[in-house]
Amino acid sequence: MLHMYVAMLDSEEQRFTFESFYQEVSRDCMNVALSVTKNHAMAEDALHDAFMYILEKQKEKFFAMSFAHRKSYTILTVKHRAINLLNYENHKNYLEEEQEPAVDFDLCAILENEEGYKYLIDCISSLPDIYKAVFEMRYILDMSNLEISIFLGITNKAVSTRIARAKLMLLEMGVANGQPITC
Amino acid sequence: MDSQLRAEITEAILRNAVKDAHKREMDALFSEKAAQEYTPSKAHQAQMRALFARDRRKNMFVKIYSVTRRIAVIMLITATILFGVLLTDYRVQATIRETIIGWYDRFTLFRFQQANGFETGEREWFPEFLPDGFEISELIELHIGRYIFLEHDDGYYILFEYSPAADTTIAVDNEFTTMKTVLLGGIEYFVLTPLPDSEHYAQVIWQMDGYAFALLSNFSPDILLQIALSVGFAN
Repeated sequence: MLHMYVAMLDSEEQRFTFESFYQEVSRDCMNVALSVTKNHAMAEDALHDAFMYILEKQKEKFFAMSFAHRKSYTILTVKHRAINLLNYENHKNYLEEEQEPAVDFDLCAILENEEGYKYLIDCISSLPDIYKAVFEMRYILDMSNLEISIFLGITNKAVSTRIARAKLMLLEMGVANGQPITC
Repeated sequence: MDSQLRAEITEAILRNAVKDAHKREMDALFSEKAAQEYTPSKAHQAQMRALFARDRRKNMFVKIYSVTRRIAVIMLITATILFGVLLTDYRVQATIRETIIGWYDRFTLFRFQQANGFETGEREWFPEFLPDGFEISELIELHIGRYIFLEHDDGYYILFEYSPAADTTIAVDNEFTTMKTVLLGGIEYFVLTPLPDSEHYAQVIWQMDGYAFALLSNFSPDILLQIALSVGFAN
């Protein structure tokens, strides 16, 4: 009786249940996690961790999104949780630079260079996971440096350093392949 | 183009490129060729069920707390309004106004109640018995009652006061006095005797015919009681 009464108080948004959402996206999330970990058990752990993170820390932000955005947000969260777990499992401790490298990163030339833009996408895809992760969290999930640092379990400074190093790597890729992407 | 604008353009291009790279990766992953059938393990299913159940319980608790708090506030406001309304009702006030004797640390409080079916009117009272030598020295009439001062040449005095019983309260010191009750003719007389060596007065207090009476004197309490017993209509 009480449950029915409380259910009557729910708005349409609140009637959304994570359980049904999980049923809809679990297959895609699992595929992403498996592509990273190559291990079923680890992939399931990543899936569980991701949902727990969303439920406990990002619920308000999650409800503010559209359904399509919720799905891509969840998939990205699962992917990065999987990367984290894999790194932890393989005892990979990345030594962070003490100083953030100074990078003169300028992509204005791509405004007039369609091929250059496509090459940029290729370079981003080939970045190591730890650098691609911070890019995706910053530019797709719109997370701040602090949120990224909490998510990955690293310092705020380390997040800035990784972003700077990723940009530096992109510059080096462009230079190395004769496809300048800076002006 | 200034440097800030260039930086903003660079960020926008990088943001779009990252999104497009991610989309390409996801499209490749979810293409029909790459799709894999996934069957979750029992442990994982149990883990996810527990996670969602915990979230549901948490949501239920938050909602119940919110509803309960609202109900509590409404009840409190309603109770406050009802209480305020009751206090202004004359019948409630009359019921509360009863003859009680409140015993406090330092004084005794006598509250008198108007007897049902009795109308006081304007009456004048005076003791028929007075020891020789007492004469009226002062008479004060107030809307709340009448005060008659009687003095004796030897320095004794008597204060005789009376007022309608309704709304009358008399407070007497009980720290340096002893009190006894005398029942005579259906009337209860409270006789207060000062302790030896105290500078307090003897008093007799009683209620009669819708009036509250008090006699106060530095005279003997027994004599005072006789005076009280003799009080009758003066007109």
